[in-house]
Amino acid sequence: MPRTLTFDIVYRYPENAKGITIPVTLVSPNGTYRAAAKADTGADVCLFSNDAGLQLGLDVESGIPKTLVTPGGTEIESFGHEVTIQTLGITLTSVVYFAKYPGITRNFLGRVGWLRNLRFCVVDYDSEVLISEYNS
Amino acid sequence: MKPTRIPEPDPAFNMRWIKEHGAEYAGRWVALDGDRLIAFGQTEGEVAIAARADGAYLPLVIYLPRQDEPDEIGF
Repeated sequence: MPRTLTFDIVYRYPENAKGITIPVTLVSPNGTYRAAAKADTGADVCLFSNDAGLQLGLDVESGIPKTLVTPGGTEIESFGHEVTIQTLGITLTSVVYFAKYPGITRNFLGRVGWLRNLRFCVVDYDSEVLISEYNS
Repeated sequence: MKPTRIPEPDPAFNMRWIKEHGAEYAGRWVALDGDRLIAFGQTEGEVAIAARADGAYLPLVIYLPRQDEPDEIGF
């Protein structure tokens, strides 16, 4: 049965990028940082680099500890912090995780803290993301 | 309480720069103020610090992968 959804925002992501890459602004009481992150519907949580946490003025390791695991079995130690996360004009307060160690070159927008708060549609053929706040 | 929306720069300028110049900086981190390159380097930290020193409003700090980097599944 067809179902119609409406979206407030249409964003064209770079066609040549690896993954569906979206600019993200993170805000903590001690800093602001703008980075890029991949929308990842397979990720349970949002993960950002250790440097992103440092730029926000966070004491990364004082956060909620969580071990994340990649499909290859590699474990990534991370720590959750409540921050403001804004993507394409949609502003949320969420717990996102920051890697314990530097070296991660990709950030990820996952379900808890991001996707669960949105209506989200991808038309990859057109390099388009359509997005709305869930309650809008 | 709903968080306050932050005025963000138009990402179209960042994306245009990446499309035009991204290959030249593949394998590096870059900081962009619109379509102006602020800094580039091997680590996110050094580039983020340079971007902060520049004073630009909400510069984008991003890693530009090389085309020969393996494709990814998850992280």
